[in-house]
Amino acid sequence: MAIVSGILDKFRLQSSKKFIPMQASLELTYRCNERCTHCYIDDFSDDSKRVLALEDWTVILRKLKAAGTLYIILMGGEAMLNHHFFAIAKEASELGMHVSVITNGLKIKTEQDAIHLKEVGIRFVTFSLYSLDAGIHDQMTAVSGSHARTMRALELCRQQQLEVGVNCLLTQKNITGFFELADWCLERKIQIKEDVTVTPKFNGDMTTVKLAASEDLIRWYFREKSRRWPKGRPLATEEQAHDYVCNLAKGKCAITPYGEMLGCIEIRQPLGNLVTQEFSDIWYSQRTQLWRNLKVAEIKNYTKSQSCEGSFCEHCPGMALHESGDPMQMTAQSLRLARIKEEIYRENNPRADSFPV
Amino acid sequence: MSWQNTQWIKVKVLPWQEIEGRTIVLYPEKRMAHEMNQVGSFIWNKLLNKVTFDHMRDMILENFQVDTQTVEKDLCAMLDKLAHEELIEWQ
Repeated sequence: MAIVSGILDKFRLQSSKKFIPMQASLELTYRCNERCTHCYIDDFSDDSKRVLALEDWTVILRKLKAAGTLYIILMGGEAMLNHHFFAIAKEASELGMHVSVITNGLKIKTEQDAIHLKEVGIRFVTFSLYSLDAGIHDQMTAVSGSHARTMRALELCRQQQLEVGVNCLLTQKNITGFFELADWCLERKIQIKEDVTVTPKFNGDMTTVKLAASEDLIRWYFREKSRRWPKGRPLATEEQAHDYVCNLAKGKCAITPYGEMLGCIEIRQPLGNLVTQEFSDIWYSQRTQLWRNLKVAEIKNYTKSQSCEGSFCEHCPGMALHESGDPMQMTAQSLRLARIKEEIYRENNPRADSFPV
Repeated sequence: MSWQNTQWIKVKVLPWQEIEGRTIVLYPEKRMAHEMNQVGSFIWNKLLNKVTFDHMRDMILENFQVDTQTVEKDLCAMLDKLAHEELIEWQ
């Protein structure tokens, strides 16, 4: 018996090394009741001929459970727009999986809705919340009144003792209000995760990327974060050339609204269909192995730090694929981020200037 | 607790997974994780459905080389532990 971290860390490491998909993200639908300006989805509709029945989702869940999945993340579009949302969550929970949902909360309107989430076994609800300023949030979601509805949904879930979290993408529009939102979350013991990287749309459309915060504002954000939370200061990762690039098709996988299996939600190239194919036939196919085996040495423009051991570069093959068509080409956003992080690192570690290169 | 007198025993609906013979069980509300060895994993799997103490004991005897007295003693100890951690329910 132990507190969660120790045992889980061991299992996570094991799952990644042995290619056991401990975490699976299920995209239940591409439909959404918001139109976030930064969203990576290019078409908010489902192909009615390909949409899965509840029985199909049950088959998928059972195959994932047998393959070693412990965590199921229900997402979208807006996951709760899937007519089978509650039934899918219940099935996953009864199979013995930890079920969480990423939602904008617009479908959680009453106390009964929040109770229903709890009754079907959902353990964690993550809300997409972009600001404490209703005007900014509503501009980002392009839905008037969405801020009030999301805040109410969050409170309804908290009242039912559901554990809640906040996901906040930081763009030019909302980055300066981040720390106010973070303080609000911390006061309520709500976990908050933020990200300054804006993903291109799945079809390669780069208009979303233009919404990213300016270099000056990102620098300000890291500087302020370092000042407030020293543990959150940028650090270089000491990756070796033979290390895998990421957890793609190792400890995690994703399923599209049509049952297609992906190595990760960012790589939109289906590896197979989990409704009709066996998990092992997809997971150990040559196609999957190719994605799985991407190594640090293959990343183009990957640069070592000038200030310390390691690198500040964080490469996402999916982002790169959308941006340049080459999964191993560092994106302009990643390079910019690495440069800023290194600057902040130097500010926090003045001696780093004398690091022998 | 006299497990021999219960009508049935069953594990609670909790997240769990077996990886290479060992089972991890999460209790999210308590922020706890429990790890079980091969025998513990076997018992956990059998307790996913309601079973009687006698049936549970017999299944262990069929699958592991151990005498009845030891099984009953060890099974009671394990059930006591699972009950203490609120991982099982019974009637």
